[in-house]
Amino acid sequence: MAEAVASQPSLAANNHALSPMRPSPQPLIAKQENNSDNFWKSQLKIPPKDRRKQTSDVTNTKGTSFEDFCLKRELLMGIFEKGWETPSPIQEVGIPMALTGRNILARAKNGTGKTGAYCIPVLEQVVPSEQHIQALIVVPTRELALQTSQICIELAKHLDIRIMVTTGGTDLKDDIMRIFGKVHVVIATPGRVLDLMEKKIAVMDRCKVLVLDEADKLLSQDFMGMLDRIISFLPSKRQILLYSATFPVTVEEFMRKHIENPYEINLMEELTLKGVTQYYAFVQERQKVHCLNTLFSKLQINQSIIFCNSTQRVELLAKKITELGYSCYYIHARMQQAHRNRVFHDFRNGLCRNLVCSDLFTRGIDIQAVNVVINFDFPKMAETYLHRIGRSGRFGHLGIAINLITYEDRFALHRIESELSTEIKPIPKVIDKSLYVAEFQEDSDEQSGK
Amino acid sequence: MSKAMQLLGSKISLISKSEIRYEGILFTLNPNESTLALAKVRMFGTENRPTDNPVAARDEVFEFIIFRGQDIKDIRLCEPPAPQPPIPGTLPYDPAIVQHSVPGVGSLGATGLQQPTGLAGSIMRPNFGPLGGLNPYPNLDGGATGGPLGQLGNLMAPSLGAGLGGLTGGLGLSGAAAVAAANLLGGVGRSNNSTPVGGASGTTSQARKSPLLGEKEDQRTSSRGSGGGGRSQQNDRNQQQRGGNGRSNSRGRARGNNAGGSQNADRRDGNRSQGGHPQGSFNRFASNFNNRSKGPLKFDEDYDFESANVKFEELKNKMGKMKIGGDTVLVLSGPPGSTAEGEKKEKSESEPTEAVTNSGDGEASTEALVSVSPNEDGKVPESPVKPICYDKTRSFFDSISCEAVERSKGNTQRTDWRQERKLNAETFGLPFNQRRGGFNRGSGGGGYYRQQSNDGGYQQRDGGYQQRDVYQQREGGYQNRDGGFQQRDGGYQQRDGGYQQRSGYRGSGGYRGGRSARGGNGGGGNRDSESTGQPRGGYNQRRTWQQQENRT
Repeated sequence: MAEAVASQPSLAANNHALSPMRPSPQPLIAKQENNSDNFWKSQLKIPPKDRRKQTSDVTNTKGTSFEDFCLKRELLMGIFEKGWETPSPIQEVGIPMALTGRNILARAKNGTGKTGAYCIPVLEQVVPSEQHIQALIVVPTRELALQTSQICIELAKHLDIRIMVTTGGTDLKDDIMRIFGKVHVVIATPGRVLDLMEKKIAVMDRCKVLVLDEADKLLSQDFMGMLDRIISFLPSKRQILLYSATFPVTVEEFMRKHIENPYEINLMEELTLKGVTQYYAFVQERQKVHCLNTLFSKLQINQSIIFCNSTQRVELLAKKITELGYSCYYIHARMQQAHRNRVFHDFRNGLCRNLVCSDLFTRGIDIQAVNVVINFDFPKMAETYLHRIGRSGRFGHLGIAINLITYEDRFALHRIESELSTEIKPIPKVIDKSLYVAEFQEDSDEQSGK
Repeated sequence: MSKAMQLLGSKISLISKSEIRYEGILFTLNPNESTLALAKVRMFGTENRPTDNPVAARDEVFEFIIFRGQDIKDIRLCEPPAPQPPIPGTLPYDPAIVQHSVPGVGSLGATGLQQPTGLAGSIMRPNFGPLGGLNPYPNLDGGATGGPLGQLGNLMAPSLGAGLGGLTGGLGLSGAAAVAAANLLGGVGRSNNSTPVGGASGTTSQARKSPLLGEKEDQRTSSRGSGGGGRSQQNDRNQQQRGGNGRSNSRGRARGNNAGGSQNADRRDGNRSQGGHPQGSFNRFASNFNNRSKGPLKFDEDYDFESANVKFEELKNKMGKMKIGGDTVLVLSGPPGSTAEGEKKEKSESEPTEAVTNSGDGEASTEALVSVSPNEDGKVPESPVKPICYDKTRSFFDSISCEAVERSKGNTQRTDWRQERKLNAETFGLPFNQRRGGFNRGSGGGGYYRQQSNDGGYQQRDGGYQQRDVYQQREGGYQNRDGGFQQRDGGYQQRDGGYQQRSGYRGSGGYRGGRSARGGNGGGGNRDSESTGQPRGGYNQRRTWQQQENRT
């Protein structure tokens, strides 16, 4: 039902929507629409619709539909079967632009569809009959790599494209075997893929597309120079796509060095998500656990992510939480990869309600069911804060972020608030459930859905 | 059956396989898990019994220890139970009491969760018969522990019913040595490890289906649903621990409680991750236990957000005025003083039960005072002047504070490990002077497993792969090198720890030693490599060296 509704207005709006995008596809689009018999659509296995309310962060589109992008039908099928109905704002602009082959520098808020915005054009551009690596997607953490590859694999379900994920913490031999078995798209963390490239196992000389997700993180000191080296293995004629919600000025240097005439997409009027209401609770350090306990008992948590500032504190807190009688998982970078995977997988699947983590999970991790983020330790940097609270309110849904603030954190609170030009309110006695609980949004959803 | 009931409340002396003797009052017997819980336990050490790792006796009385049947070598009845009339208000010791609230403090705080408590009470009373019928139970705690208690009740009902008959024969009331009983426990214990597997699916689906209440809700429902056999062990144990510790809480040792809490967890870890090595687990159990003071983790009241936030506003306002005065010295001395006061007030308001103050407290607040000053100088003037950090119309890029920029300026936000440890001590109520990094470290893998056991299905694996833990620790140690001397140190010790763990669970003394030695530096290293460690993705090693170069 949803896409029927969506596609009709979009047909009308179509030319209008795509005209500023200048390049070629216009006539093609017309062709595609003409022969769009609805048979294949009726065959789709579309997952149940998410009825939660969505904010304008994802709904404020021009009304384009995925069919307007002139994609392979098999890819479209993957998209719809993933439950994606219409493109989000970043996808609406990013997909056609990426399809033109231009370099892109794209900025969109947390959880508004950036992954889709680059996966779709990447998959569209891959030629399955050519047996070499054609696209490389680099992300900063292993979990994010897994997540992204899963999305890609789902999207490419009906396509004959081989997708491979390679990250540290796994057996290099396995990766080598798989690469020799021919791969079209590689999704990787920088270290491992660079290793494979330097060993001349991953041959990138015909890899036309490089995507840097969470680009600012990848270009930061944490990955010092790695990206420069990765790029040196790519052909000189390549397309580079950069996506993130934050772009510090430090990225500019990299831009100048490697990216020619990028097309800038910036869909962020402000930095923070509209759907995430932020609160602070003043506590003393030693009251934090008590405070958290109270939050657990008062909030209607669907799933929560609780951030601590160090791995040790993650473990200590996880213990405390279990002692309080709540179940929780924890994850941080110092755990064995197999355990990390297990936790990530199980938390995603809803086996556990709460996840305590370090900043390992600050970026990109997309768990739709998370409606509460708690900063057990307040972060020092606005960037960290922004990405952390972006773990709730995914894809324009509603969520809350609660910050435990100690006396020492008060300046950071004020600074981050003003840097992000956002409001972090004192936590009220009762938090309105319609601000973050799905069941309390159904009514308004119908209203807004019209 | 009735005999078994009568045994509850008896004073029992038992010797573990590591030759450590404990005396305490029999609180529960759980044939399902083949565990036995003693309350008010004293540890007498190895008492000249031949052993590789002698352990000295300790003076503290532990509120509650759960023993694994397999690891009990000898069990004796010292005295039959002494019935005591319940006097609400001034409660005498009674093993039936799992937890009770402070007299006079009506702490039925959180709503909606009291039901299970009531349930627990009703199930337990008939079972405990004359001993357990104490009334404070049902009305003891508010929301916080309602669910778990419910589960405890559920759990105990079947277990007492099913298995105690056999035990009674062995133990008898005669007070004779009851090795047979221990054997029985051990025998049952074989099946122990696999039990939770069955419960997996049940728990899982529950967790997903009821998004309404907390996890407690889930646990409760799942435990009820799955009857008796297949539910997750973790929950059970969790419950029991909390239950047993209840008493000290009622005396209002909020601080100590925390410490005890973590200990519990640790103990649980030991048990869990060593499912395949019953011997080891006991030692780990015991040694951890000895190290820390005890108490449950339970809060009688909700945290008062409103008044805390009001206080915060007040402080801010005060600050504002001070600043207008322009006298930095004043600013420095003013607010910290008021914080200290604020803290005290806060304490008396939100934690009225807190009677025993942790020694760390004083330090911690002074610490707070000290650390205020640099903030004061550095950041306050900055924030009001701060220009607009992001304006789409002006630039694609933003200038919000971020690690990348900070680091490129050379400001590595590195926290001193000592400070971190102090902070952890404060947050989690750990005794500060103990080298506690290690305990945390040591149970790293275990902790995770423990969570997993929630859905039971992984239980099996946990048991089998102790070795993995060892590796993990090693790995941790290795990464620790990342930051300078202390970390490196930590790294080595880590390795040691891993080694010890591998070779000898058995020696509790030695094990403990290994732990604490490891502990000290683990703390610092932990944090450091975290900040650089996570984002690296696959590149730990390389990055580590680079970082080090950077720093030096």
